[in-house]
Amino acid sequence: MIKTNKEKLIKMAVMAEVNHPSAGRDYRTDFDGVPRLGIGMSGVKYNVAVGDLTTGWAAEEHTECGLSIQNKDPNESNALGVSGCIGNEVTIVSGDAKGAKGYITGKHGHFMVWFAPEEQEKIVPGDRLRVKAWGVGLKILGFEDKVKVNKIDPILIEKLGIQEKKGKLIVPVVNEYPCYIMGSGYGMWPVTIDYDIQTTCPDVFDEFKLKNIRFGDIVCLRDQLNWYGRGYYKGAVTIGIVIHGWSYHAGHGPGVTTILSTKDDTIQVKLDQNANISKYLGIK
Amino acid sequence: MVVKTNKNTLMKQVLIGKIAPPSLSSSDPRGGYVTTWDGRVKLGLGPGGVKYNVKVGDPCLDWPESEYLEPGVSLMGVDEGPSTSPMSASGTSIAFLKLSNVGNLVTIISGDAKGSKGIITGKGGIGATGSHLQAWFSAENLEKMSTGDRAKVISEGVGLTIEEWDGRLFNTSPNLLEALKPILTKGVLELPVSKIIPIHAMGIGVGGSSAETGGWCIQSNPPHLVEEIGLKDLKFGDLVAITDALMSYGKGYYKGAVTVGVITTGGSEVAGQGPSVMAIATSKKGHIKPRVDSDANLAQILKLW
Repeated sequence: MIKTNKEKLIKMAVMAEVNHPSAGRDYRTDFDGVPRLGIGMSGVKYNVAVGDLTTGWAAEEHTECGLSIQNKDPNESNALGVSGCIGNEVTIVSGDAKGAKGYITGKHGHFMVWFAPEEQEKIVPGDRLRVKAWGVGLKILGFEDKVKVNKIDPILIEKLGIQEKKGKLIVPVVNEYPCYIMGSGYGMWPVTIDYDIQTTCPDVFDEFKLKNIRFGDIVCLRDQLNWYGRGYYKGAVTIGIVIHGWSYHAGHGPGVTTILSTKDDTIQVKLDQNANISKYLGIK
Repeated sequence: MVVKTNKNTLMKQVLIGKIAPPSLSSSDPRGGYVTTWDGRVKLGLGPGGVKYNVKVGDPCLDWPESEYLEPGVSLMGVDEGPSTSPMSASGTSIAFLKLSNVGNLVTIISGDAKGSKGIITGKGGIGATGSHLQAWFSAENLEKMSTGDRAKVISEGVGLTIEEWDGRLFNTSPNLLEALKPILTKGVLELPVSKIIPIHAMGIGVGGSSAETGGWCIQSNPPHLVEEIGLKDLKFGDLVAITDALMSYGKGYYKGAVTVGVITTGGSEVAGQGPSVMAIATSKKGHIKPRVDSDANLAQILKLW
């Protein structure tokens, strides 16, 4: 099993609240000029959870699984955005579900959080939560210079089934994608935003098995470097977690929060249909 | 076949803007540095202002400390609120951007350069350039300009279509289209371009909104990509074709699609970023045939000298 510098990392409380769905006053246009009403971002979803398929919901658009949290103070929001990591424990601190514990499962604009269904029944938008933020500065010992780690809880990373073999890290992933399918979020900062596997072109849905993508899938992105930003680098390998659902807007699709990235073949992958954080977190 | 258009049906109207102040590329309001793809820092100057020595037709990469350098004169709408963000544009400012087209006439209407006439050469895309147009003026007129001077653009081109062609045109005045000397053969439109860019070289801007606002950048880093796609001699105003790129109602990967656009801003050293391409034509079915011609640059095509 991999070893990390986890005992050196600051662990701190960061506050957030469950947010409410929001909507515009008009249709939005999809890639082909069709007006659409899209739902699924923000709020509390009773029947969409990490581990489920990222498409198949009526009127879906960037569906966020479970519930979505944010902090409305801009400075506190920046701190939450930078310090929160996938797999971090969260606790409800107000309302009927006070004391309930769950996990962060993704970072879109908001964070997405999983709670057990019986707890989620009691949660409403506006309830406050405490995030035990932990993971900024995480490094895999022996790979400090070759592999950059991002946005992943130090305990969760140990559960991903990563094996160290002859100076390489073997990571189980559900699928891998070429660089040119990566869309919105490209060129942006991996610490605070995901980027999308584009579901724009129907001709490649089957080629890349786009309809099989699940929330929480661990995936591999080829020729993509996520170090000081996010872009093309021949031979680079990036590993990420699928965090939101399909889109019908040009250049958008299921979002990926990137967690590991290397310039060369230090990261190798092993295909495994069960490589999903819902399994690693013991949720499904 | 020479193309037939609907140019006689297009509305022609006036838009008012002003010369945009220079701004830095960093999104940090305290003026932080920009972090490059390989972990260096730089200032990131280039968006906004009046450039005396950077014009359409000049090389667009490798200007020291620059990010998203804009050639010539940068213009912006005039209804900016008190927002501290240089990226904000609302109401009439959005109209100023959306309704302007490459090839439209622009006239300075206040200040020492009053009466100077120029030509719109592009729209920006990323950061502060996202609320800017760029215009070419003669060197003599540039000397008299100050930021904040008002400018009027005669807008003509929105809604321009080509008969018997199933693609879409954007940001194009009828006079630019004519100067491009497009040829339509069996429903396929032939356009001159200086380079053909493969989809894997495209970066930030993907997923962005309509082609009339915001560009899609060709990545100008790392160096091995610049080498691979032959980007070194790219110029402001170059026409380029992007394969497998669709910009009809947004910007995304679409197998077989072709988009032709204009290089409007300079390069970037930020990962996944680089010169911005403003679309002028796109076809989902690939009904654009790019004809490679090293003179396919707005300076030549619109005779900007």
